[in-house]
Amino acid sequence: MNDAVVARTGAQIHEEAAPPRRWSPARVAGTVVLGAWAGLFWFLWLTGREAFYLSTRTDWVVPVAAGLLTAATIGRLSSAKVTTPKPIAARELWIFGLMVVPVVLVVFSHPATLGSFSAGKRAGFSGTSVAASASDIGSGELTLIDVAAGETSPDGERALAKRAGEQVDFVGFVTIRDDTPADEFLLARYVVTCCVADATIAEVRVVNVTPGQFANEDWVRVRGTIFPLGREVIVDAGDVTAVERPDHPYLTP
Amino acid sequence: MPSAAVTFMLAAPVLNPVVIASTYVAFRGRSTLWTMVGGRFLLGMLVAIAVGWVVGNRSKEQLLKPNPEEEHEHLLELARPEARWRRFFVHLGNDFLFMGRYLFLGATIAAAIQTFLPTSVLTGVAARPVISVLAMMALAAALSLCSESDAFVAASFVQFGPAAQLGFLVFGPMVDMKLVALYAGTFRRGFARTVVVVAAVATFVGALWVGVAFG
Repeated sequence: MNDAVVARTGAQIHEEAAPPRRWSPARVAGTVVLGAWAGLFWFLWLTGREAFYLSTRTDWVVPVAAGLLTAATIGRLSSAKVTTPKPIAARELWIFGLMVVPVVLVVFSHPATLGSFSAGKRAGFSGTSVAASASDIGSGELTLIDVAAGETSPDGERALAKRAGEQVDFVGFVTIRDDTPADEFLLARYVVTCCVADATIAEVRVVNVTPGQFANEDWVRVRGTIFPLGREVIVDAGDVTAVERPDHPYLTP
Repeated sequence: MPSAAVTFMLAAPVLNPVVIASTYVAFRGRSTLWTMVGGRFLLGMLVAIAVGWVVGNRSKEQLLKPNPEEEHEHLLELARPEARWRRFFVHLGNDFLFMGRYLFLGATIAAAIQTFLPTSVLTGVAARPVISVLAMMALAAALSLCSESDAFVAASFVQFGPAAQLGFLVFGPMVDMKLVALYAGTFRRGFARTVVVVAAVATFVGALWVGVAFG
């Protein structure tokens, strides 16, 4: 049949070839976004910066996301050649561009954690109800998590009051507000259950410190005597020393 | 059955063992423990059912927006045999790119509110029963917290009564900045509005009732 057609028309019959595939701009752009986010998760994981955003309970999502997004990037790249590519719309291009902004900010900005600025904004949260029961507070070494729980629960408050006069050893960052006396500062530490969005603050007032020795955001170790007074907890400083910011700056209950 | 799917969508973040357990841990040692745990479970279920009932038997086409990612260059690709593993990862990438934009928008708004809005502005209304419930519901929507951890934040607002805290715990997992952005991107406008309004009204009324009955 084909031969007959060739004979009449003079045309040459070829076996039907697959249409050529070309790069789709939209899929390539999507691949770039996916790749950027995959790179971000690898970056967070390899540099240990996931501790700045997640609690130790949830930081496993970072390597999992890195692996999945890398696979998705490869999968998308492998399908980025199509038979009829359409140009990418300007709106889509803007959206893809905006989706890369957080990646750029995290990778290229100075690594920061929640600090005294945020502590002031979260004054209403002062204290946190975390996984420390009255029995936890009443025995063993006192931690800032115990203190935070004692500031919000009546049972915890009573249990904490019984520990008055005991020696404590806390690490946190310095917060100095406008009304803070010169020989005092607030020692604060964030408590993060899932990620920094749910951060609440554990805070004690440290008294009898050398005026002007420490400034906002300085990380310090305070050894002293604790005096819980209702919902406020005071630590009479015996020794205050500057320390490096811990690898895990937030506490996980 | 869209109404069942909507009920499931709203109930899942509230009615699960992890969330109930975290609520218990957050409020243990307080006189309102069982009001909060039981109230969150029952009110969450009632609100989800109420929204599903109002949505009724609308069809999929009446609920969902067309997905531009599926329309784009897709039909021509159907004829091309692809390995299943590649289809999986292409689908994964498409979902990330489609949902990611809405999550990004919602998370940006929530982060801005968390950073610049002092929570002390709320404490002034803590003693007003009706307004405090509304304020805590609005705060829950603004903060966009994970339902597994929001009970710890709610419990920290010791100035507020159980009705306001319950409003925070029930409304937040159903309607927050990230979810509203996702609803707006996935569902038709009327449906998204219905979900937000019915969930808000049902939560508000339920939380007030709990406050009167058990507060």
